[in-house]
Parts: sequence; C-alpha cells; structure tokens
Amino acid sequence: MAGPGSLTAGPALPSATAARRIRYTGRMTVLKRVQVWTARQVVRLAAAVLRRLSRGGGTLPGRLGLWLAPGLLSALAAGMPRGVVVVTGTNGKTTSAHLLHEVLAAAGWGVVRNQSGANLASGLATALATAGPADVAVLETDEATVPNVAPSLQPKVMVVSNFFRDQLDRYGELSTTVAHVRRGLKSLPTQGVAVLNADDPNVAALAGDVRSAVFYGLAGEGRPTVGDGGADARRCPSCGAALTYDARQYAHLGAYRCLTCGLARPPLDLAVSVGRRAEGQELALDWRGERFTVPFGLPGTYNAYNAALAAAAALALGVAPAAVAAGLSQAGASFGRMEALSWRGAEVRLALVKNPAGFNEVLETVAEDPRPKDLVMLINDRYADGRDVSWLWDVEFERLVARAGVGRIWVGGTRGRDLAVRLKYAGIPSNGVEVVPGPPAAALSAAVGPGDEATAVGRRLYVLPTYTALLAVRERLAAEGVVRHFREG
Amino acid sequence: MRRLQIVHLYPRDMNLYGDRGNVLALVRRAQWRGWDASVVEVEPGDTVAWGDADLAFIGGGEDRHQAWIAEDLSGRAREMTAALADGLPLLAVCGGFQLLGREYQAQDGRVMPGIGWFDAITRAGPRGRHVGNVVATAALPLDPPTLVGFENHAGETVLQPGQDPLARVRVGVGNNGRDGTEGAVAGHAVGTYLHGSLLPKNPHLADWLLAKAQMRRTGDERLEPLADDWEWAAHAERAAEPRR
Repeated sequence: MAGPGSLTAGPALPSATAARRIRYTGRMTVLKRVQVWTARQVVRLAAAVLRRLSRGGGTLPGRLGLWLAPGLLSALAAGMPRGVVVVTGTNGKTTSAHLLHEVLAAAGWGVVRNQSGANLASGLATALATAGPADVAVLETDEATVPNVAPSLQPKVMVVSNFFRDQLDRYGELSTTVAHVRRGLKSLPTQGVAVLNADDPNVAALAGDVRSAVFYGLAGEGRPTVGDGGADARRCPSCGAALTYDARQYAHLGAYRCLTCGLARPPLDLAVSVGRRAEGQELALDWRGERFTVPFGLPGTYNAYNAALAAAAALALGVAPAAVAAGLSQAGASFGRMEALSWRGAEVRLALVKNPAGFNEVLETVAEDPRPKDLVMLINDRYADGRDVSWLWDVEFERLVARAGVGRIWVGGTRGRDLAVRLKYAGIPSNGVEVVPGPPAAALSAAVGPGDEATAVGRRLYVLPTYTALLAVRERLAAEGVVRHFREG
Repeated sequence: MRRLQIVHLYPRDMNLYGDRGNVLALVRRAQWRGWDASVVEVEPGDTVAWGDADLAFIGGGEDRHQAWIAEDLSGRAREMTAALADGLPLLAVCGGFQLLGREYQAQDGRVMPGIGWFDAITRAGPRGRHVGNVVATAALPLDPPTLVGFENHAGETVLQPGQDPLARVRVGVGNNGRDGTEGAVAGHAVGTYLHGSLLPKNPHLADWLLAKAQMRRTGDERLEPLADDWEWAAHAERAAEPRR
C-alpha cells in the first residue's frame, strides 16, 4: 500500500544545524534518568578508552551500557529530534546507510551513524550514547536484531533493502529472516513509514504489515546478461507459483508478476533509471512525478539500489530533491565496499563479498571495468564470515570470471583451497590461479608483489575478501600506512 | 562416446546450500573423461523419462518448499523406486535424503510421507539445528574412506533395523547425534546430510556414483583416473578438522 508516505518534519524545528543536547524525554522517573545518564557516561568512557587503544570499540561499550540501563536505547532514541531511521536487509546496509548519511548531511541535518558491522543492539547503543548533538540517527541493523530493538527505537522510518540467502549457518532459512523483519515492522509507531524495495518480492510483501509504505525500485529493462544465480525468491510470496519477470536487474530483483494470483511489483514512489558513465553512473530519479538526475560515483547495479534506498528514505523524511542530488553526487565508497586505494603502485579496489548475490554483483561490476585487471579472492570461514562455504558453489564464476577479462587470479584465506576447487570446476584454467593458503594478507602480498611499479601501472587489482579477511587486509594496509588505522567510525 | 544424463530433481526449490555444486562435479568429471554429459532439470509436474537417466540428484530446501516437493515426489514414488531398484545411482542431500526416507516430520508438526527408498524416519529434533563441519568414515569401499562436508539440519533421522548408513561420524552430529551414523546407502543410492558442496571435495564418492552409472550401461566399472590434487588438498584440510 503506497500511503501518503512523505513525512513532514514534525513541529517546526528552530534550525537544523543548531546544536542541541540529547533530551531524555518521556515520563522517566528520576531514578531512571540517573540510570540512563550513568550508563551513557560509562559507554562514552569505555569507547574513549578503546579508541585510545586503537581497538574498534563498536560494540563492547554499548553492551556495558545496556547492562547498566536496559532502557538506554529507548531513552536515547527518544532524544533524537528528527527520530531514528533503521536500515535493514541482507545486502547494502552499510553502503546505503552511508549514502543516507551523506544526503541528510547535505540537507543540513546532524547525523549519528553506527560503525559498519556494529549492527546489533550493542552497536546501536554505542553509536547513540557516544554521539554529540544530532538531529537524526541512521542505524544499519542486523535483520535478526530488528524485532528486538524496533520497539525501543520507535523508528520514524524503517528501510528494507532485500532478502538473500546469507550465512545460513548463522541465520537459518530465508523465511526466518523475513519473519524477523516483519515482526520489527509491526512495532513501527503510528506515524512511522516503511521504505521498501519494490523490486524484491519478499520485501514488497511486507507492505501488508504496515500502515504506510514508500516503494522504490529500478526502472528500465534490466540487464540482458542476468543469470539465475542468487535468485532466492523465485516464487510468488502470496500463492507460491513461479514468478514471471518483465525486467530483471539481478538475481530475483526486478519487475515481476504472478500469472496465477495477479500479484505484481507495486507502483514505484521512487523510480531510478541507470545510465552509464566512464567512472560510476548517472541516476535519473522520478519521485512521484518530480524528476532529477544525479551523477553517482559508485559502480554497479547493486549500488544503484543502495542510492535508490537512500534517496527514498530521505525523500520520505521530507528532504528536498536538491539535497538528495547533492548528497549522492559527493558520496564515495564506504569501508571495504568497492573502496579505492593505492598500494605499492597498484590501484586497488577493495570489495567485501559475503553471499552469492553480492559476490555475483561485485564480479559483474569488475566485468564492467574496461581496464586490465587482476583478481584476489580471500575466503575465511570464521564465525563472522559464516562457517559454511557451500555458498561459493552458488556464485556464478562460470559466467562472470570469463566475462570479467581477468589476468591473474590469487586465492587465499582459511578456505582458499575450497575456492580453488570451485574455480577449477567453473572451468577456469588452473595455471591462471595461484593458491596462497593461510592468512589473507599473504595472498594479498603475493598479488601486489614487491612493488614493481612498471608491472602495476594501468592495471587494477580487485581484492574481494569475506568479512574477517577484509579486516585482516585492512589491518595490513593500515600497518603500511595505506589507510587510516582499522576502521572509520 | 560415453553418454551421461543426470536428472536434477527440483533445482528451483531444493537448492539451499550450494547443492548444485554436486551436479557440476558430476558433469565436469564426466566431461574431463570425454563423456557427453547433460543435465535434465525436473520441476514439479514435469514428466521424467527414467529409462534415459544415468544418475539422479536431489538437494535440500526450506521446510516451506519441502512440503510442495513432498507432494510432487510422492506421485513419482512408483517409477522412481523402480529405477532405483534397477540400479540407478542417486545422491540425495539433506532435505532430499529426508524425502527419500519413509517419512519426514517438519518443525511445524506436519508429516510428509517420503518415497521410502531408505528405511529411515526423520523428526524435527528437540535440540535446534545441527550446524558445523563433519568428518566421517564411509562404509562404502572408498579410498581413502574419509568423507568431509558441512551439516546444517534441524531434522534427526533414525535408520531402521537393516538400513545401512553411508558413514560413521568422526566429527559432527550426522543423522541424529546418538548412534554415530551419517546418511544411508541402498542399492546405488546415497543419502547424506553433507553439504560443502559434497562431491567436489570428495572426488572418490563422485567417481563411485559415476562408476555405477557406467557399469549399468556397459558392465564395466573402471574409470579413467583424473588429476585431483586440488580436490584432495581441500579434502585433507577438512579431514584434519578438530573435534567440535
């Protein structure tokens, strides 16, 4: 149901930039206020200490705070003058939260955001408790955490990007994940809005559980080369029949119809068309008839979806199209999401891979880059990566590596040998693949070599690590002074 | 040229944990030997020419999908068990293994009848999902006898008296975590909880299935050896897995 959707910014706020103390609103007892205040100071102190020790410090302080004051999240969320935005879904949480941050900042709003990956209750508490004066909180939130924190956060907007199979050893089946998010949406406040990706059948179907929904999606005919890999919602969420697509962007995202029960992609409140540019892409946005175009630096269809998400959420919050355009056009990549670096003369692109749909899209983006390039893929199987590497067999290496025009390939990480076997069965000649087992940084060093500038010039090195491999790579690059230490906050 | 036709049952709904890697392993290992390999994908309602099939595969799916599949599969029980009785090699993983048993009771209490090729009964377990790496010793004549894979299942399967297991578990849970059995073998049909994908990292089991398929057509079980260095390197790394 596409309701009125667009939120007015509430009672007139003095000035968006005016510094504002976090107010502990509501009817809290004095005791509770003291408890929350104390917890907040403890979180700040712990975070400051951890920062000094150069630790990430995204989750531990918050965990401490929630233990001291279980009501911490709701007290801090209530203090946000323009409310809380929750961003959830399998892929795109970090990048789209980052883009939304840029857009809201361009509108002059003070924004609080949680650290990439610190997306459980503890990470959200750390972000809110350590924030300075702000207007709005943009919180990327783990799907399974959404139902636990939504009642406390009372989000003004909840955005759902997509549902793909992801680390089934941790999350269980796809339907379980969808059910978590559905429960979270049911606790949206009366004036809350769900911003939903209309192109994902399972996400669009969530509209039945909310009062007001804003739909975003991609316009256009989709890609002619789209494969079947990663498509996890091939059936109608309403009647179970196989879906028909008029246009498919990637995996199961696109303009779908069910010929059996008549379900179809809902009409789009925000339709985004994608045009190519030399670096990045040009996005044409249509927000309920209001049209504007934006140059956008991040490559790939999946990043067009991330931009559409950020734009839809901002427009639903009442931000003007001009600010949306300004924010998106100046946005760069976030932590390890097609991040551009230069190391020992090599031009490096660092892109996290964690599930088949995301991996396929990253490879698709590599293929679209016309330059000569080499590829490093680093697969770890620690808890945060997913212990099960079966998903590598659902990545379309057959189709994509051949198209990508890659020179040499290095594989590494704790499960580098599994990937080597996967590539062999994909028909990639074994003499073009070098296996460097052990820590991810070893494979990275082998790929970059001693820093022979002559061989590196004009080539790009795409480095595709799983989550903990990304942290290891990052640490290595930080040790060599290529990136700022560890991760940005 | 040797011909190999693989019947892949329900790739749309029974494809949860990279199980298509098993089909890919069979196809490649046949092609590397110069065979003409093809895959026939079968969805609910499709007819199957079992007489043309050399090998069959069925993977695992979500409970919701498995209910639809159970219904379609029960309509094929007679012709499928006839083909299996005729020596058709088959690999059934996880949900597919459960549906080839006598019955399967899902987490929500629904009971789905299986086709009963394996004398096994599966119930939703009381202890949540069994998730992790598995190392097992196969009861089949494989060299080495080790099988490696990854299990992720809520159902607990109990083999009935007289039903042979595929393997004995060294690391992991297997069928039910009590009797040490993993999977089942009946005729040339193999049922298992091992994903991974299973066959690429266990090339000896892939070749056992291919050998049975070839024997059924030509009477000759011998296969041309392949260079499996990478496969065995990945296998060995898993086989060294510590007890969890």
